[in-house]
Amino acid sequence: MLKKYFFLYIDFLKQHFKTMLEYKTDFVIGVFSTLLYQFYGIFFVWVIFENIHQIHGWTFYQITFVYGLLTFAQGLDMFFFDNLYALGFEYVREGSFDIFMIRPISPLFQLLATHVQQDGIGLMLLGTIVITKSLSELNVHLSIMDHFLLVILIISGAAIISAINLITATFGFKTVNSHVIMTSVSALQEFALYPILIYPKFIRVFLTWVIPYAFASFYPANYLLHKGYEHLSLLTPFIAVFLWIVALKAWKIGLKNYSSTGS
Amino acid sequence: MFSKSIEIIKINMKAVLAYATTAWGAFFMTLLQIFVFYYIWMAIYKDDSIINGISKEQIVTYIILSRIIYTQLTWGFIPKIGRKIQKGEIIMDLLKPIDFQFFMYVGRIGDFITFASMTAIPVLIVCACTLGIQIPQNPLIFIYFFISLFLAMTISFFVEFWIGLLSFYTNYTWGLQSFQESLVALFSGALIPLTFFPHWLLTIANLLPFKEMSYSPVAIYLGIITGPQIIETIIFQLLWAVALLFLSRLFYTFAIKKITVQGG
Repeated sequence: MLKKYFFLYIDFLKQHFKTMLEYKTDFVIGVFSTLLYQFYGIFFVWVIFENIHQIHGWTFYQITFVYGLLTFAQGLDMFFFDNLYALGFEYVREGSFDIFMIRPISPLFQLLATHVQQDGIGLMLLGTIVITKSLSELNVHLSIMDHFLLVILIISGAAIISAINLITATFGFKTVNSHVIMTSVSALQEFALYPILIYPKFIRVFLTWVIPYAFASFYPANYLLHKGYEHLSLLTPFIAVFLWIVALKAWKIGLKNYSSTGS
Repeated sequence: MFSKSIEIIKINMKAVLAYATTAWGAFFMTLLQIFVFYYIWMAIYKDDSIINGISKEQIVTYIILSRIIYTQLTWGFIPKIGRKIQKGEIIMDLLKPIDFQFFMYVGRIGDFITFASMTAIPVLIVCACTLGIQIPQNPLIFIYFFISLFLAMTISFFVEFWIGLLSFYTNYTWGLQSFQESLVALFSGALIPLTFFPHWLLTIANLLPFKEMSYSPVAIYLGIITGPQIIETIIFQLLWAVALLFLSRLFYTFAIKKITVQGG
């Protein structure tokens, strides 16, 4: 079963890259611009540190580490789960979701496999560079166990992002404008690019217990840099699993109540 | 007749509602980004009241105004031109007895007005109530600000038009849109006041038209630019507008010959 889905995914990927090659120039410009845009975020932090030496006890490279963790998680999520955004305005509105329904494969799988977002590669690349650079500048030496944990925490972070996106994506069964809801919720990730200590308490609580994006950057960074919140940080993988259970449940309910637009 | 009218009204309502959702999204996102930046800047200004010649109160208004302008500058005008080229609709536009570029410009102003009423003003009201906005004492400043803002939109249009025409060559616009967004983000001063830029980057920014799209009007509003410098800034914007008009016309005449409409 899993093997079947794996090979199917590879086949879908091949199809996608064929289309992509049709638009080579645009692809190059796209990846380059994504990098430039993200560089800008780092540049912003750098400008800040021209003026002050630390923010709430966090130094420049500690903050870039937080930034890098989230960037990598975002890239990972973007690469595999970007097509969720198109559910409402493309697949449901134009009726092409019905094709997914009649095939003997999971509709969710088909939706995700139809389109991977190659720009995610750019983000992952940048995330890797920023994480590596930050760790070496901070003189942090991670043990093998820590490396393993780093990978687990990043994957969990990406899983948290994608699970929340999946929950908001199910609005696509009800409204063709679901991408607006999705974009609005995922825009909250912007808060998690920086140590959440700079925000007032209600935002910190919100990012921890309501829309827990802080677990994709701030808490893992705390753990790996030994800055506190040790127990809370280790909750990250469990939160990811929990959110995915909720998300799949929401998807099932949405799918059950879905009726085609008939067009 | 009556039922027909109702149908037409319904269709229009749907279009407005679809637009309202987008506008609501833009409203929410702009507000959110303003708040994120507000808290970051407040952390920066924790121990100082003036940094690089900009006071704490000024920076708050700076964030609010320039974030709103940034949302409008990246509103997605390039995909609009791109769609016309990809779907072949441009042929119909070229047949119209009106200049294509002028036609698009008028449309852009329409977008700007809808944006101002449905997104900008609500954001301004929320921000004025929660964070506080500085208001210039001299009413003349408002006039200068609006002239400068109008020129900013015009300059932005020419740049968008030019980048949009590149889709004659790339046949796809997503990358072009992010290209424009990243240039605007970096050089317009929309996210960081230019006074915070290191010297080398400021030199580059001064050579490009992007700072005229956001930094100039906001700096006039806040009194970062004062006295005779205001008029100088506006004249400089005007020169950019004229220069870009010529450049985009030139490129347009050149690109239109290259036109390969996809099945249009």
